[in-house]
Amino acid sequence: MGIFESAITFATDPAKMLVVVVSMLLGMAALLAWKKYNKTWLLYTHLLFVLSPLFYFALSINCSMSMVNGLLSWCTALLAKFVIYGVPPLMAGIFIAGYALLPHAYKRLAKPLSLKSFKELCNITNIKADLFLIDKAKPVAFTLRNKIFISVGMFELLSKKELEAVLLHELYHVKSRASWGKFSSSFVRLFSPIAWFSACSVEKEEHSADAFAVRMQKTSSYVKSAKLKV
Amino acid sequence: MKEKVADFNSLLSPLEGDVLKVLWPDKQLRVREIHQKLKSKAALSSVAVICDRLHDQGIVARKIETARGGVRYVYYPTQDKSAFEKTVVEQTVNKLIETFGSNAVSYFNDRFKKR
Repeated sequence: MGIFESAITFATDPAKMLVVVVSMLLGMAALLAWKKYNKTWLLYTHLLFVLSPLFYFALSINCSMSMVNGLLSWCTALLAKFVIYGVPPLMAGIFIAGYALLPHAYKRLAKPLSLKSFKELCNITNIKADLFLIDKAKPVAFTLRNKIFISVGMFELLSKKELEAVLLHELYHVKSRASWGKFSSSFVRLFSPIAWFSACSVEKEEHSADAFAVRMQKTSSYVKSAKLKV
Repeated sequence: MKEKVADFNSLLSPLEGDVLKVLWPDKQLRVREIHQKLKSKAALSSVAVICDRLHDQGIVARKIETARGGVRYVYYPTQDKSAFEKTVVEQTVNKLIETFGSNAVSYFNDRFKKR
């Protein structure tokens, strides 16, 4: 029995198909719950339910030579099993590279920056974060975990108060663990076709970060002018 | 004699030429200082982009300066005006020889004989 026969046998078994349908429905429910409550663990729950049928199918593929008709059939069955079982190590690799190693790679490109005004902002907001300077004239600022990266270009174009607005915006991302949410969203989309159709909540997070900066500065003018300049 | 930075217009944009014109006599300037000294009404962000472009081309160099609770670039020309002009001439001649080979060389020989 080769891969195609295995797939047909799997698809025509009502008990197995019931497991697949229930798993997919639970996956959809988890995705909808994530959209509503914005909890990252719901995204991973969605991924688990969406990928489970694939592994269930992989388990049902029989690769023993006595069951398959010919070498080609045996090879395709074995390859399919190998590819499906290769998904978790691939996921682990992407996860480690993307979430654990990327901030360290950026840290190597940037250098730590000690700013009195930034430390004051950390104390006022009660958020712990490290500031790193990127040697680039292009104005950029972003957050990876609790590390805030800011380019020299930002300092050149913005006034002191506008820069404070940008730093407060980024500090909010540290507080809300936005980089974890953004990474998880992209990571899940990579492996779950269903998640491709769900709108990203990045915009909502950006609005909240702006609102935080406005609240702290008691005016929206610096956030607005900084956005206009950058 | 009136200085003609416009001579570089085929190599540099007008704003790039203006930035160099400001940088050559003053040696080291911040973007804000260059912006203040420029007679054209270019935006600060445009001046920053031009300085970055000149840095990428190797025409100016820069260093990071920490001051008054912030950081900024200080730009300075890698060559003075006459050295820059010589480099431009050298690059142009090399390109002509590379493109036209012996024809370009014999043309230069004829041209210099006439002088």
